[in-house]
This record gives sequence, structure tokens and C-alpha cells, in this order.
Amino acid sequence: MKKNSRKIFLSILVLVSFSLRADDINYLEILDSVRGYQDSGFKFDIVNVSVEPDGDKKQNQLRVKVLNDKSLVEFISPERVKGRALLKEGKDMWLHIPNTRRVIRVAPAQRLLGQTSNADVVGVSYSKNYKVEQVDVNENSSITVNLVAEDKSAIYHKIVFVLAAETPHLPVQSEHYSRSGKLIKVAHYKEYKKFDGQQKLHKLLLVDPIREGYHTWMLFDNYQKQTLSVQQFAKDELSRL
Amino acid sequence: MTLRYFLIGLISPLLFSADSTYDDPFSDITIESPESQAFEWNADWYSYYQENELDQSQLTNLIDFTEQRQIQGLQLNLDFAINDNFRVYSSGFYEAYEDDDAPTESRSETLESFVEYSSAKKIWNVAAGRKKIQWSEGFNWTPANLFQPYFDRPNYDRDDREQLKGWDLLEINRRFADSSWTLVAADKIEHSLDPLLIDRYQYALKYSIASPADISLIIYKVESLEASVALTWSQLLTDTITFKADVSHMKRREFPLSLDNWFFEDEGYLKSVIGFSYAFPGWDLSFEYLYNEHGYEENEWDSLITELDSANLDIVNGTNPANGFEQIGRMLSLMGLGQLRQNYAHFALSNSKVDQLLQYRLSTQSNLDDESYFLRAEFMQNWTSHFSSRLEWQKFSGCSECEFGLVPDTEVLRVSFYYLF
Repeated sequence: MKKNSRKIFLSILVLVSFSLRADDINYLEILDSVRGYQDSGFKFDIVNVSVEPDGDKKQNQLRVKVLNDKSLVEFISPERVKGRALLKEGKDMWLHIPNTRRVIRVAPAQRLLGQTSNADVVGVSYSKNYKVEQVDVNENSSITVNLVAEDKSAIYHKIVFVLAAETPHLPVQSEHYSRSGKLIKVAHYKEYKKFDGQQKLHKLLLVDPIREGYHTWMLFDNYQKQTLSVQQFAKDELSRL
Repeated sequence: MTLRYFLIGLISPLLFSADSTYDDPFSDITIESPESQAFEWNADWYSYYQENELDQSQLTNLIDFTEQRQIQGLQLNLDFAINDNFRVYSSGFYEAYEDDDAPTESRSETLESFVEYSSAKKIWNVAAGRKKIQWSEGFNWTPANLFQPYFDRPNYDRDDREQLKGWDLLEINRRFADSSWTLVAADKIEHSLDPLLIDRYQYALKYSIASPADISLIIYKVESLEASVALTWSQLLTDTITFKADVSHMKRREFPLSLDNWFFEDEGYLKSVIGFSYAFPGWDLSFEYLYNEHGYEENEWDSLITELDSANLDIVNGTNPANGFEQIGRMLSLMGLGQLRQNYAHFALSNSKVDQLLQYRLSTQSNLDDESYFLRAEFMQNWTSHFSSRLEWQKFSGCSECEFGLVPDTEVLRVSFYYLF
């Protein structure tokens, strides 16, 4: 009887210690920190390689500048899209196509990069757009964090992250759900790299669970803090790049 | 822990083993950072072959219109950053064309060429030289583009480089966090159907705010004439739907009342466009409605057609062929401006915003007053990152006295090739 009581007590202690540890961690801050610098403007480069079931590969390269909720994406390659620029401010997005002075408003749901959505390549702020709904500690000590979008019309209404057991609990995998509850994307965080002493996401694999065999590799690199002004993220600036 | 997470834990090893089939294409590479170059250039070689099917019975078709055209052209764009604040941009084209059996002719034009100053934080921007002004939110129709002469018709002829030509101007732009002011003073108007506008300077002042709605108020003035105003609006309605609208009010009418009496009224005319576009993953659908008070009412249009009939008889009967050809020429100039009536609808379906190997764009423009229409289908193939081709088919349809029915062509077929250097 005494033995059983001790077991129960120890089990409760382990669970409480796990949940205390889980509660103490600012998960949104961890998720934001791996995709940039929250306290200043910054830039980074991305190479996307989209792969189709027949093995056909398409590659593009982008340069992204971020300041708070504003992102400016410059298309570097392939040659036929070089010079295109995408501006995002909150949910508003504008696209400039070279050889015109026309800047057109595009919807967030519009894909401009094949399999990669606009939301995947721009700066992400989970702190501003999502809240933690539930945290669970898994048997292997990894942590599952459920995020729900603050804004009901967000592209990903719910995201389920699996974070590594080890500090600093970097994301290992995430599942992205639409408002209807459909799983629309699975992301595998394959590699991190240190920039300015901080771990940043370096390689990401996006798998399309709806269309079998479709996946995209994303290589993030050259994270760099930069002094940026809000005027650099003006709609007029797109046609001046 | 819910059963769901327990299952995730269980299948995680399987997921990661499945990942081994997803070969890492990057292995150990890093991205070469594309540092900004002081001097950048690009060139675009283009070539097309076009066949036009003409309606020989048509009222305007007494002129010898082209049935076959081939063009070879080169557009060159140069961008030189002198330092962090100053840059020079220049763009121009040269093309050689051959119509039917006529000898090859050529033309060239400087499209844009300006020097631009930007202050350190991009608060002030000043441009001087030739530059294109594009302020309208409309896609197919652009009532807020008030600078004259305005020649922009991406939905008729994408290969016409002339539509990229700007105005010789001075532009001063002051940006604030969420708004901006732009002042433009442009050189004298050289070409216009309205003789009163020629040889006069033109000015505009624009105030814009952006996000969540883009709104611009434009005041435009031609030297010594009354000012025109325009308002543009675009807004995201949902994650998939965008809304856009333009409205302008001009004192002078864009079209004369008669082919004989080339006089432009100045009673005040409204032009407005309202549109929506819906984004599906990878493709989009857009719709626009145009209301144009500059356009002819039914009785005015009937009177114009009577004049055209009479001009046609002048040529056929040999009573006054010179006058007949002049009036048909005037009618064709008006048709070149487009939207001669008052109510129009535009519908387009496209996947061309996405970078992919095969792209398409299907669009229609309908004259709701006389039920004539213009249909266009394009198929683009990106063979490599430098080389692409486009197949285009256009159809003009309507009664013989309707706007699109009056277009000399009934069908146009064009195959174009492009190479980016």
C-alpha cells in the first residue's frame, strides 16, 4: 500500500514538473526566434526546390527583408521572374511584375511560387498572430504545442508543432490545418544553423499531404540584422526595386 | 496526453524514415548572397508571327489592312546605381517588322530614361526624365490614369512595347509611415485626338494611404483647363477575394460627337470601374464592370454609324473618296482608344501569376450596350528559365454596326517567342 502510494506520488510529481516546465517556456518566442530577429529589421535568402511525383524539380531563389509585420520579397531566380517583388503588410500583399509600373494587390491565398505559399516565404510572427491553445509533453519528452490563429481568416487556422525535448526546444515538425480542420501542410525542420550566435532555421522540408509525392525543400541562409525604415516597405517602393 | 499525440509519437519514426525518400537537394551548399550590383542590365529578344482574318464586308474595311505581320525586336533595360541615393534607369527597344509583302521597316523608342534620388530612409524620392506613371487600380480599364495621351492595352497586345513609354516629367514623392504625397509635372502634350490639349503642360497631385485599404485621391490639370479628379480604391475582402475600384471625373469628353465636326464637349464626364478577383491555389478569376459617360449613347452612336455609312458610299461610289477615307481614318482612331460606348464587362481566368512551365490566360471584354465582344486565349510555355513561347488567339464578334463587330479583324492568331539574356 505504502509502495503504491509512493509510486502514485512520484508519477504526479513527474507530471507536475513536466507541466510546470512546459508552462514556463515561451513557445511563441522560440518559434519566432528560429525564423528571424524579433527586435530589429533583418534580411535572409531562400532557395526553394519544389519536387513533383515524377521527380521534376523547380528551383527559385528569393531575398526577403523583414520589419515587424512587413516583408519585402525580391525574386532573384529563375531569370523569367527576376525582378518581381512581393510586399506583405499584415494580410495585405502586393505584387510588382517588371516591365510595367503596375503594382497589383494579391490575395494571401494566391500562390506565386508553385507549391510554396506566400505565407511560407515571408517573415512570420507567431507571437502576433497566434495563441497557444494547448501544450503536451510526449512520452519521448518532446513537446507538442497547439497554436490557434487570432484572426479567423488566417491561412493556417491551427498549427501543431512538435518541439525537441532538449533546450532550446527547437521545432522538429509542424502540421498546418485549414479552418475546416483539413491537414494542408506538414513541415519537417531538418537543420538549424548559427547566425550571430543564434540558432536559425536552415533547412525545411514541406510535404503536401493532399497530393502524394509533392514536396518542397527550402534552404534559409544569410540571416542578417539590418537597419530598415517603414518607408522601404511602401507600396510605391515595389516598382523602384 | 490525447490519443492523437500518442499516435503522432508512434508514427514519428515512420515519418522520418519516409523522409529518407525526400533527397536533400542542398547537401552541404550555402546560398551565394546576391549582393546588389552597381550596374545591372537585361535584354529581352522577342519575335512573333501573326495572321489576321479580315472581314471584307465590314464598314471600315476599305483600307488595305495587314493580313500577316512578323516582328523581331530587342528591348534593353539598364539600371545604374551611382551611390546609395542616386540611380539612373533607362529602357528602350528596337524592332523590325514586315507586313504582308511590304519591305521590312523598323522603329525604335526610348521607353523610360530617368535619374532618381532617394533619401537615406526613402522618405523623399525625386525622379526626373522619362517615366511611366501608373496609378490606377483597375486591371483591364484604368480610369484613374489621367495623363495624356494614355496608351496602355495589355489585354489587346502584350507585345506592343510602345505601351511602356513614359512621359518626360519631374516627380516628387514624400512618404510617411502610412501615407504619401506625389507631385508630377509633365512636359507638353504632343499627341491627342483633342486638338485643345496639344502643346499644354500637365500636372497631377496624388495623396495615397495604404493598408488595410489602398486609397488614392488624384487631382489632375492640363495647363489653362479645368482640373479633373480621380479616386482609386483596393481592398482585401477575404483571404481569397480582392476588391478594386476607380472613378474619375473629367471636364472634357474623350470622344467628339461627330466624325465631321471634330469637337470635344466639356460638360463633365464620369468614368468608373469596379472589380473583384478571386484567388484559387495557383490560379485566379477576375471580373470588372466599366461605366463610361464619355462613351456614346445609342442615338449618338447611330448618328456616327450613319456618317460611317456615308463615308463608305463616298469611297465605293467615288463621289468623295478623300473625305470618305478621312472619316474612316477618324473612326479607326476612335476605335483605337476603345470603350466607345457606356457599359462594359471584363472577365478573366488565369494562372499566369504563378511561375510554372505551362501558363494560360483567358479573357473576354463585352460591350453591354450592343452585345459585341472580344475574346482572347493565350497559352504560354516556359521552356527554360530564359526561353519561352506564347500562342494567342483573338476573336472579335458582333453585328456589323456594333463596336467589336466594326474591328476590321474577325480573328487573330499569333505565335511569339521570347529569350531573356
